[in-house]
Amino acid sequence: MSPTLANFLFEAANFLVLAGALGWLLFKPVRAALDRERERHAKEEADLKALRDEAEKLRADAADAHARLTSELDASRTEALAAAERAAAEIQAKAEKTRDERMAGLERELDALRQSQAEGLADTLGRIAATSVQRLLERVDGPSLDAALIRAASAEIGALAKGARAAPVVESARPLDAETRGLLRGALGRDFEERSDPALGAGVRVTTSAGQIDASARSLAREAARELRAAGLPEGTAP
Amino acid sequence: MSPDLFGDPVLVWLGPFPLTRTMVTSAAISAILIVVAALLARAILRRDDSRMAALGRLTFRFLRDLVRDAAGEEWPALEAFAGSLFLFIAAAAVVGQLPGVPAPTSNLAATSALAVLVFLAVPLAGIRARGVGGYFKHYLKPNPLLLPLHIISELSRTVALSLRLFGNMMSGHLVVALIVALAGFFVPVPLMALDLLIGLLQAYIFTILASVYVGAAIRVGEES
Repeated sequence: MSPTLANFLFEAANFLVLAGALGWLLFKPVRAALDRERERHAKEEADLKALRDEAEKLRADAADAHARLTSELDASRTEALAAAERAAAEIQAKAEKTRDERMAGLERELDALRQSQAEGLADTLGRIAATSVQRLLERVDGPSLDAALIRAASAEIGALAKGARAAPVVESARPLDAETRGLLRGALGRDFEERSDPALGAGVRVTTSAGQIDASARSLAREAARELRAAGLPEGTAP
Repeated sequence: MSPDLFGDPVLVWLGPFPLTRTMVTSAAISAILIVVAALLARAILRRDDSRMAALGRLTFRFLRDLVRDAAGEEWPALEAFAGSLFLFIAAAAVVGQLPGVPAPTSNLAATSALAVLVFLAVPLAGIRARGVGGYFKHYLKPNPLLLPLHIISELSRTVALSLRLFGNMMSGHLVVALIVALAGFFVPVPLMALDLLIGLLQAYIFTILASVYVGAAIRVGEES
């Protein structure tokens, strides 16, 4: 075989062997290693992207939740505020109502107290006035209060029609003596039923079918009290 | 370094098969490349952060990008083929600077063998990518009358590949050998550096052209 042809064939075979060996020893493993490295980088990048996406999603969820909670909190706050205002209004209304009721009750009690005090004062003043009148009559040596009152009653009975003098009842603070009894019988024109009522103080109270004629000291006292009330009691004592 | 241009002395006859100096050099270069490649791959697989691993990665990426840019797409078999071409031719240029060691690429038989391998790789890659009909159909385009021209083109570029590499490598060695013979040692050192640069450049050119040819065969018919 010629050296040139042998050279040609050997070089061709040598290069094929070299290419095969380099492909198997160098190119294939290095390419595989680089591919693995690239895949690892791609996977890490994908993982990173997934983590980033997840973090972004979590952030968005957190923002949504925050917004939702803020909205709910605002709504709850508004609702609680409205409820508190309603409750406060109710409490205030109730308190005002209670206050008004108590004020009304106190005013009623105060009026009743004033009324009773005024009436008591009027009674007291009437009694004092009656007592004073009686004492005055005794000092001026005039008829006794009983006699004066019975004469006044007899005068009023005399003014009545005769038909209105039926079934008479005479009440007196003390038992009538013969003179006053006769005076009354004359005025009534008939006998009458006698009753004793010490509460009258003095004088008589005559009840007939037409009505009642009160000529007692109590009646005078009441009249005086009525006059006092009509004239106006001091501030705080008027009924 | 001798001025022996075309002769390739037979070192020993193994029966009818002569063992020449170019054969031994080529085999040695291949062995060295295989060992270095194994070390680089081992470093990449076992010690990912070592300098050897970084060198292996850089070498692989350089060759991959070189082939991909020329061929237009990634093709692992082409990367191994063209990358081996680059490494072998570059290693031959480096070894050729050693005194008394001729670069295998300064032998026309060796460069012809490489060119013929490229010539064969082109239709093989085209058939693998496009099928037999899909690949050979392009020889009849745009007109069947152009078939002879296509064939002549294929052959001529193969011859050009072979002669370009052989001429550049042989001329550099010849110049250096002549200057050594005339002026002695150390004088041709700049020329040796230039010769090394030219050798590396030829490795780059040979690889680029082989990738372009194979890439064109892979993409044949895409333009239509």
